[in-house]
Amino acid sequence: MSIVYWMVPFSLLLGAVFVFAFVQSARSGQYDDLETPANRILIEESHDTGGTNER
Amino acid sequence: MSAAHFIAARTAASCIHCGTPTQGEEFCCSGCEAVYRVIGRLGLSEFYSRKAEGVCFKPAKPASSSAKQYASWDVWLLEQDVRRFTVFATGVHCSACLWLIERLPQVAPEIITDARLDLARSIIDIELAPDARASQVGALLDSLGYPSELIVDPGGGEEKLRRENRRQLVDLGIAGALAGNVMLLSIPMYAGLQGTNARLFEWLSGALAIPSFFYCGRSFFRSTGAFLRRGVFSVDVPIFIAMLVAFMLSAVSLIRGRPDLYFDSLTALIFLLLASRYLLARLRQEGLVQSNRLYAKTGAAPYLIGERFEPTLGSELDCDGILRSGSGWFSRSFLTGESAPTLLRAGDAVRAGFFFQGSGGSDRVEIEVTATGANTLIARMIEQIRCMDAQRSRLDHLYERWAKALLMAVTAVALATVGFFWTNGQAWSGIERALALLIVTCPCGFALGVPLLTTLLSRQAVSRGLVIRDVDFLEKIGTINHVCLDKTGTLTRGAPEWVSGRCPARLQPVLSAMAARSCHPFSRAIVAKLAPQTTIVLESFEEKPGIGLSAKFDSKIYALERHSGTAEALSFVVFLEDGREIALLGFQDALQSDARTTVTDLLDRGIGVSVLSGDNRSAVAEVGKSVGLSAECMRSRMLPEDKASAVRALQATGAKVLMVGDGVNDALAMKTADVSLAVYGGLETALKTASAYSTRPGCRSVIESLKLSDEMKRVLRGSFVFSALYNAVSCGFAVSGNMSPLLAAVLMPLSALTVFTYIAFSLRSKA
Repeated sequence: MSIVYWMVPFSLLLGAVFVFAFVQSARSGQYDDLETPANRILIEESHDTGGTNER
Repeated sequence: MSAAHFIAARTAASCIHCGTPTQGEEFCCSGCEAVYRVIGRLGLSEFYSRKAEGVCFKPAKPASSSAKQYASWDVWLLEQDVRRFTVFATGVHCSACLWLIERLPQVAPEIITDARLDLARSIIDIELAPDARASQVGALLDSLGYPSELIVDPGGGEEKLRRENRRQLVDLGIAGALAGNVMLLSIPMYAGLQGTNARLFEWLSGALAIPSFFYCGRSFFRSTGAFLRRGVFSVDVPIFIAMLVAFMLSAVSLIRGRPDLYFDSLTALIFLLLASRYLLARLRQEGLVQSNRLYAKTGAAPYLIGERFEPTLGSELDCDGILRSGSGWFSRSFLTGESAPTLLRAGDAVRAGFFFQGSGGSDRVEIEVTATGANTLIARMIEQIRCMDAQRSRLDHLYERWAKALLMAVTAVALATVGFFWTNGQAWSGIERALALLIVTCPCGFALGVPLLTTLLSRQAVSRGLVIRDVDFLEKIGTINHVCLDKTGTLTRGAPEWVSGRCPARLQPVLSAMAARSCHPFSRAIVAKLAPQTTIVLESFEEKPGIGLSAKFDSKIYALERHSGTAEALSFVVFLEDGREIALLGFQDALQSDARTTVTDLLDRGIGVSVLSGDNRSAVAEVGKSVGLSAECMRSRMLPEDKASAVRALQATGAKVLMVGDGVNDALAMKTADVSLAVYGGLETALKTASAYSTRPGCRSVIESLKLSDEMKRVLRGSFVFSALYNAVSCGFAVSGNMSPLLAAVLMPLSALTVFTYIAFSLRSKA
């Protein structure tokens, strides 16, 4: 069971890394607008496949 | 794609631009047609294949946009010396709009170099091209059917809001991570782990609960502090007491080596609470963003007090004054809600916001300035409205009253338990049971359920044509017993329509060309009905306010003159060719098709109805008759302040008032009323003031919001019954001493989940 003494701190450390990444992305404003990018990605795509094509 | 393609592709007769059903015409109005042409000219016709079926907003007015209307943008940009600015665009709603707007830098690079749209908030971030003016951007957006408004944010309110938003999200993320880890560490204990490893896991979960409680849960400390200092009760207080008890009890158990640990329940509770708070805050902000917007109109005052000037035809006055000589026709819609101009004579007061429509006689019209800038009536009115926003009192929420009652009952039972066991000489056992009781019976079902319910109902309201800005709107509207309605624009369509008389087809282009040159409401009605044309050039044109229009074309004199006859609330205009009558055109500000049923439904519900209008007595009486209201319910000739005091008078008799309106003249009354609703097509001030606004024409939205409110009450009552049952059962377990940590850990989140499921399902079944 002594593996627990390694695994538990390691899992907590891993969790801390993800929390840190989340905090950074939230502070840089990646979650400010959740709706528009979802629509925007569709637009770029259909534009690239040929704007003059009649769908 | 060609225009012909779209016309061929249409199956039923509906407007190409907005999808409104029409009687065989391609467009429902000239506004839509104008927007369609602009989109085609910019080479953006692909817009129509992208947009969802029939959801495009109808432009509020025939797009007669000019850069002049947006001149205040230039002033502001120059003062600030910036090239990036944000605007709030009305009418953006789907990915086709997003495509259209973000395409603008490519099709109009001489004006805009970058545009980014925030679809959810209808805000466009714009970068201006080096030699362009901001007013050009305004005119461009307007011509595309998105009338926009510059966002001026001197206090940095928006930025503060954004930071607050991010902070809440960070807290939520941390609380979630901590809750998840504590949960994982607790599983071995429930599985029956004993010995040193169990002790390690217990201490670790305790350590993780510390930041969760003290950092993520700090807002609960704050609101409890406010309660202790100022007696402001909120639902946070009982929750905080439960959390504090859970934490202290668990900490004591941890140190004494007992198994009563509630760290997992505590951290999960904090996470769920923060999640629901975040949801509610996002919702509330949609309203806030809009009321933070300021008027960019307070640019430099061009006049000095006491100075005299001559107004230019068709211009909006930007100062208050007194008419010193001559007489003039002024449109006073912001004061009375009526767009038809009235004749003012020497000595009469004029206000900033009036439109000068022409001289009433041959004399020179001269105005002496009495107030400018922030001292004008309109500026003072807006300021007053803004102040009232700040001092609005807190609503005593229904669910908070229930939570209070629940807390008192639980406290009473807890005290009784301690008392009972104390007298039997088992004090410690009594205290333990009372603590378990406090922990499991917490009103968190409400604290979590109410925000969820509000969010879901707001979504539903949008699909029913209602945008809710004040989160408490549905709860407040459920308590009203009196409705005050504005007449023009609310009960009626707000603009006269050409309802009788036909113009021979050969003269329609002439009529249309004449009407297009005038801004009188009747002329606009003609323009809206006839196809716009550009082939005819009038040889001369003259508008005599109060009398009519005259023009020369093809060496004939044409005239449109007011006719003295009136019948059934129709006003007549006669169309003359060389003095010979061609057609008698009848105009009427028609009732909204649902005005009568709305009033009847309101009366059926036992809600009092009165109409507050700035229009004259006979017009108001006429409307009263046709919607079935008695004469004493109809109030005429009311100025904005009168409307507000009428609402106050009603409130003094104990009535809870809902104000429904559409104009600046209703804004003060809207703020005074307990709750307010702006109808479709309303002016921006009304939309900004109201607790909710309607996105569909007509006044049916009043009934819709009452129905939604009933819905909310029904679901709330259901979740209250459930919560009472849950609390009674868990109370039984706790008092009888059967509340093990495992049972508490299962029951607490389970109760919240059940409330969630109940709310989601009971709404879905009705939708």
